[in-house]
Amino acid sequence: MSIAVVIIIAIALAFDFFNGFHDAANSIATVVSTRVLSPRQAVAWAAFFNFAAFLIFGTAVAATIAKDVVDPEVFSNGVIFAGLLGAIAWDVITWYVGLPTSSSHALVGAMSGAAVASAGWSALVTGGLQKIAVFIVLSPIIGLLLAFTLMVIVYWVFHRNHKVDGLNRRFRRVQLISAAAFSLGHGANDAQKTMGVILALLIANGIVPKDSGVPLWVVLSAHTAIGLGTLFGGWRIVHTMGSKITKLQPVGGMCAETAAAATLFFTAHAGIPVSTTHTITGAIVGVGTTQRLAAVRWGVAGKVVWAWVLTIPGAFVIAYFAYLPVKALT
Amino acid sequence: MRIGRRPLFFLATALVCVLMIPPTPNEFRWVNISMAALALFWAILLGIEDVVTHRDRPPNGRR
Repeated sequence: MSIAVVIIIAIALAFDFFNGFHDAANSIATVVSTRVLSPRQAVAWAAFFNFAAFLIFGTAVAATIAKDVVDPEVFSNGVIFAGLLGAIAWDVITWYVGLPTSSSHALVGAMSGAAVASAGWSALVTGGLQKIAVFIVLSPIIGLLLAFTLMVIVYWVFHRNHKVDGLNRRFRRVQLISAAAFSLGHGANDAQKTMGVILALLIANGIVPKDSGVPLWVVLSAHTAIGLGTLFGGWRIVHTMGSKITKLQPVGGMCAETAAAATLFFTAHAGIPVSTTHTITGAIVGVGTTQRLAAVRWGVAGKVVWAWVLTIPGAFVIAYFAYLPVKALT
Repeated sequence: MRIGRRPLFFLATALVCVLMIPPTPNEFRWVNISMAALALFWAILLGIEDVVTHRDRPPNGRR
């Protein structure tokens, strides 16, 4: 393994670490905002389940990233390096301004940008990108509808119970499980993107054969990186996700996380890299909608939507220009 | 008869799911269809709730 490969793997793991850091808010925002766990406890809880995800889920998302976004023949050290640079730069910018954007789509956009700069538009695998693009729209809708449905079912089952404090205590306990489930889904989806990048790198350098699965050391290192990132997670986005979109009670947090976790389990199983941020945002909006549409702060939700729209083109452009000096050097 | 914004919101959600069917790969179209059906179900139910609530309300708007 050359030094260049080792350095790019380190950058990919740094991206994974930063992904956990950036998206920690998604896993724990509702638990923190409903005061089920303190921020410190919530971060440790999410980090553990982020790591544990490798025991449950396969590597279908990693295979999609490695083979279905960019033609594997186009992948080179330079393309992957520029792609990672573009995705990291986009994540840093959006983290700095406190926007919960998608690291998944930043990575897809950035890898596409670097590949186009290297080999033109034919470098893109349209079938894979189409699948990802469709689920950019569908994943928050699935989260929204499942969360709304779950919330109505819970209200219907417990509507005769007037001991609100007792119910809230019960849902606080259940929310620990739903937060754990969401963290599992987050770990499964987001850690696999890095695995996909490292797999593409190993294939491009002939270290593993083209039809290879993801080596175990890659799986473990990706989950460790995202778990550590979550452990050191940032708090700017917790504020936006946990309180600005809608005010959550423990029951709402539980429904939002369960709905988002179910969506992520399905997409991880189907090999579709989706945004955990999109999914939990949709689910939180679904919970808010059970009260009334005015309970959702649409101004904040709209700002988030703009960030989603800009992510793929933004990361694409950064990675495209990041690859140009690499191309000039090689 | 006055329909609130929530039924229209769910109707619009169902419409988006239906509009996304053509670009969705065949193996995943069941997701669009089932989500559209669920959204339509809620749109109808919330619409009925709005109509019934409005009908039961006295003319001066007090309950």
